[in-house]
Amino acid sequence: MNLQGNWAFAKAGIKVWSAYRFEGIVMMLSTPISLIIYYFLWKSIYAYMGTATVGGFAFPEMVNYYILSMIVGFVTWSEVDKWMENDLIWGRMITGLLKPISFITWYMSFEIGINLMNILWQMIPVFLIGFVFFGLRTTTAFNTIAFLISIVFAFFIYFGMTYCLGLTAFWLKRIAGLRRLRRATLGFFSGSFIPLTLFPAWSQTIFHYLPFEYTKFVPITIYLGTITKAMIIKSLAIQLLWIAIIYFIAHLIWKRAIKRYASVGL
Amino acid sequence: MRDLAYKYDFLIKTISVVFSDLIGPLVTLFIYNTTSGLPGWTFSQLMLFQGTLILVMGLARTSAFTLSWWVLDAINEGEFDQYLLKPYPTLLYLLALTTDHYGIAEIIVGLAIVIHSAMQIGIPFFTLATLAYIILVIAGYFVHLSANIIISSMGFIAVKSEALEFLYSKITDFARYPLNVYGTGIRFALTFLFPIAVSSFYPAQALISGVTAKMLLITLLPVAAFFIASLMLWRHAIKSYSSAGG
Repeated sequence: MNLQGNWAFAKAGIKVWSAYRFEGIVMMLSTPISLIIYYFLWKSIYAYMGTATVGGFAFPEMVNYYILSMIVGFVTWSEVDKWMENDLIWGRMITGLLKPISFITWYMSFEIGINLMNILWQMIPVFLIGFVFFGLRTTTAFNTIAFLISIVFAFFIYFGMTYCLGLTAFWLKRIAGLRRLRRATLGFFSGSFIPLTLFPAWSQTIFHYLPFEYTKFVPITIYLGTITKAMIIKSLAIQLLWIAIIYFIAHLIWKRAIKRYASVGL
Repeated sequence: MRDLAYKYDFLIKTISVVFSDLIGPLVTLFIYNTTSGLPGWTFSQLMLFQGTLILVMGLARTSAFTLSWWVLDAINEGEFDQYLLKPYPTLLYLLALTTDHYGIAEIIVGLAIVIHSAMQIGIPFFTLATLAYIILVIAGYFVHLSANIIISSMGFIAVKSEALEFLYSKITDFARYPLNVYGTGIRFALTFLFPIAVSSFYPAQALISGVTAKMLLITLLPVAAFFIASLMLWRHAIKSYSSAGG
């Protein structure tokens, strides 16, 4: 590990974020819009139905779910496939290969820099707005710590999958379509739009064997405490397992990609 | 046309557009499977609502969404002057230039959902309500066109408009669910100030429960005002651009 090097590239990410800070601030102001929409939508659904829970969530928990969904989203956010596509197309990839740190940690440090700013400027405001206006509740110390660990793991899973997709640009060059599909798939199957407990039972069983729910839904349930302590420990272990699998796959794809890169010299 | 140079990417992009569109109907399906649904809307009615939104978004994607990206890019790169020199009205020329093919797939998906759910509900096809529906769908397209003209114009006036683009996409999210779930203030804003509800709620409601001429007029007037305001802003922006000398 070369922490000094990592920090240098994280700072590059911070600078890129700062160049777009006006966007960042407008985003900070417009993110509560999604919360308002989901709040009213579920309020009318619960009122119309008259029963207390939907998919295991009472109304206040459902609102909490969407606040937490946004919070996790700020940490896991990754557009590394976009940087990779652009770097390849504009011929900048070669500079990445010459950096004094490994290729993947170069991109990762950069993304961590951007996400640190997202956490500061977007996640913390959403936390506060959630507490003050939308009744976000606190949780036990154990769940809080487990939640924090699980969102860091979630970042590595999300980043790893996005990075694998970015590597396909070595073969496909333009991957804008795949990136779009990636965003929609990850959003939908991780529970960004509705909690996964509202999905048909058979699909929920399949989700347990896929990495998607570990990037959002599982961290949220850890915070909300809807799963037992034993399940939380198990979930964290499965997250670690997914990280190992995804980075092993990324390594395999990378080895083939770099061979191709050297021989073709795109 | 540059997109066609990468045929594989073009195919995947079309699939991704369709998949993203189907998220709304899928969420609707899951909500109706696990709850009693939304007040005032049966499952088929809400599917018609979602199909209408996809249809309007498809029209807007075909000829509106790309406009603002294109203009903002051209301003940043200093390439905008060439468009002013063409012997065509600048805005129409830019609209023709920025036609997006993916919208066509979206229009087909939207229409299929609308027709299927209309048949399930048992709505007759050739009535005045259908005519009102078509008018309102076109009006919904004009709301998005106007919004994109405003964002483009702001590119000349303020330096950065990408933030407006984000705000616009967030406000558009309000149109994903029927107006009657929101409070009075939001309903008013989405009908009269930023008439985004015309891209889903008003056409769907007109087709399902009919519409009077008066109601139609009240819905269309804010859209007309919004469109005229966007054209005025565009003119102002173009003028300030030429006087500044690029």
